[in-house]
Amino acid sequence: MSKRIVRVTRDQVQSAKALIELRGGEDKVDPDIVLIANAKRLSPAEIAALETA
Amino acid sequence: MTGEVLAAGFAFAGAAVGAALTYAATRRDILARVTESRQDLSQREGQGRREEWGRRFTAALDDVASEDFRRRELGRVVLVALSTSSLATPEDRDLADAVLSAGARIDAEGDRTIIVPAGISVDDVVVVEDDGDDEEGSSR
Repeated sequence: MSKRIVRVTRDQVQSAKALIELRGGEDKVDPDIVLIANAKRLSPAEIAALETA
Repeated sequence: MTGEVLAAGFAFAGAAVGAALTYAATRRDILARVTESRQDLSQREGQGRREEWGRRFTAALDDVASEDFRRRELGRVVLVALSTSSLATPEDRDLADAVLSAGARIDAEGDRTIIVPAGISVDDVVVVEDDGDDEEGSSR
């Protein structure tokens, strides 16, 4: 089954990281924020491969 | 003769007691003024620090909304630093929290990013950082 790829911008990633720092840890924010903060930096080819996997 | 000596003695003692009481009262008054002055200075310094903090907080909020990525990133760093300072009120922290939360959830088009829709497992989701062809966003 192919993965659902969610694209986020670098600003979203950095905002999520800042929010985690402000709250005092990953356990203090919603799981969505943790996923955004830990977004993978992949090449377009790697993303395409994930989408078709 | 003895009466005059006694009267003079009493007069001297009275004057001494009066002087001592005046000295004590004056000293107490001066100490109270010094304490009050120090408290006033401390209060004014506190207000000055809070005003400076407010200026920096406002500037950080402006920076977060900047067109330039580097300024936005520095704005976020300053926002977190200021919000965790002892000068920040709970309302200030809530505001910074709301700004960063919106920044994390809202994409470049202004839409709310749904990471894990209902009915889909977290394990089936891969979140990737993707700024398209934006050179600014892809540089570290």
